[in-house]
Amino acid sequence: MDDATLAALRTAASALFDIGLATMIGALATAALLRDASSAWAAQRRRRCQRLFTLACTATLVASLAWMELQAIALTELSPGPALLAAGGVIADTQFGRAWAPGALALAVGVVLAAASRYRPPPLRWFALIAAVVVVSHACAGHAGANARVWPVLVMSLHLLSIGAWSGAVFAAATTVLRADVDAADGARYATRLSTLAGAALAGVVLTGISSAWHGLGGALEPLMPATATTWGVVLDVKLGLVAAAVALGGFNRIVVMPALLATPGSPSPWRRFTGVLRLEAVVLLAVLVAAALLANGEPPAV
Amino acid sequence: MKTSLRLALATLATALSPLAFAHASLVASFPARDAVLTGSPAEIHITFNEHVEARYCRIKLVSGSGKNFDADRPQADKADPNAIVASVPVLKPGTYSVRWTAVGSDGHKTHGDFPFTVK
Repeated sequence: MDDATLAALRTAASALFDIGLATMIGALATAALLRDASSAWAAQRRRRCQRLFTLACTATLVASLAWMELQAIALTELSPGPALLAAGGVIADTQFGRAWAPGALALAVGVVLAAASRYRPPPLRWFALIAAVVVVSHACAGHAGANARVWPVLVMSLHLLSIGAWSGAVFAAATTVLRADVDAADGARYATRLSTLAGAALAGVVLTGISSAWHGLGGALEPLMPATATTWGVVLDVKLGLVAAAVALGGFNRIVVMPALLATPGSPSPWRRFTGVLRLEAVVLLAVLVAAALLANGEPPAV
Repeated sequence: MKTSLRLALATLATALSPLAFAHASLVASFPARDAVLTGSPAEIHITFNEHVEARYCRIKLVSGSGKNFDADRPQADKADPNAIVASVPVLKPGTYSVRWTAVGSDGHKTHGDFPFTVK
């Protein structure tokens, strides 16, 4: 397999992993936002969130296993079959392999638990623990875990959690919760909580992102300034624009649409507008996660 | 664009993509880039900006005429987890290129090369 194909497949696996993990976190967050809602609508949405979690956990596990197989192919320079047999060595011999293993195991447990929850649903905190293990494992498998220091791993874990809470909660709202026949009282409470969660998560993304970047670049941001001269820099600019668009859409919903929705929660018109903007935001955030995977697997300018 | 605005945009861009930075890149080497040595080096030593997985790093040595020389498989520098070292055969006078492949702490492969001359 040539380097370009490997790089493309690894980027695809990373993107699927990021989208899956975000959706797992979003499904859990949404179930928590609906925890005290008593309507039949809310109960049905909580069950749908559970199914969304199962689907996302399975997709994340598949992406995680594919990523490790691609890593084994890249590092051992063997064909896929022999590389699969050599993957155990890559996992045991490398820092990222040893960090990856607990996350993959947690995802496998998550898939089994989620499948079994059809018969007897386990407490939500079990799934939250699984998501937390996957997040910390993912943080440790990157640059944050390189020097075995707690602070960079903690900050990166909070960064991943914030990204997941924002984009995942929007995905869950757009695909699972706000589809039709929203209960007026429970829906209005959910929309308010969703907006608050997204705002807090955005603040978390920016603060932890600045901290991680400052740590990673040793406090020097100037080397990034000519980044637009490279393809990587263009993707970074596109991502920046997409994030700005997502923030603008979320802000529009919060400032313009929500007051009308909360004033007349029984009226279908503001709900249609709110859901339409939210779906657009979900598409933009999906593109942000794909751009993030392109950046993480691309060649940044030398710093 | 004013420098402060560009810096602010760079800060925001960096904040939104911290995962993407710091793939392994060369910081220092022996022989240094374009160094002129009076005799054959016993080893090639490369230091990167981050921890590297020495077991999966590679160093190749190519002469000016395109002949490949076998460098030993790189070992981790026990004193520096960011560095690798490989011993090389005795080199005749000429220009050589060191082609390295490094695997960073996130499993990302990076490549590079640098020349040096033996007098």
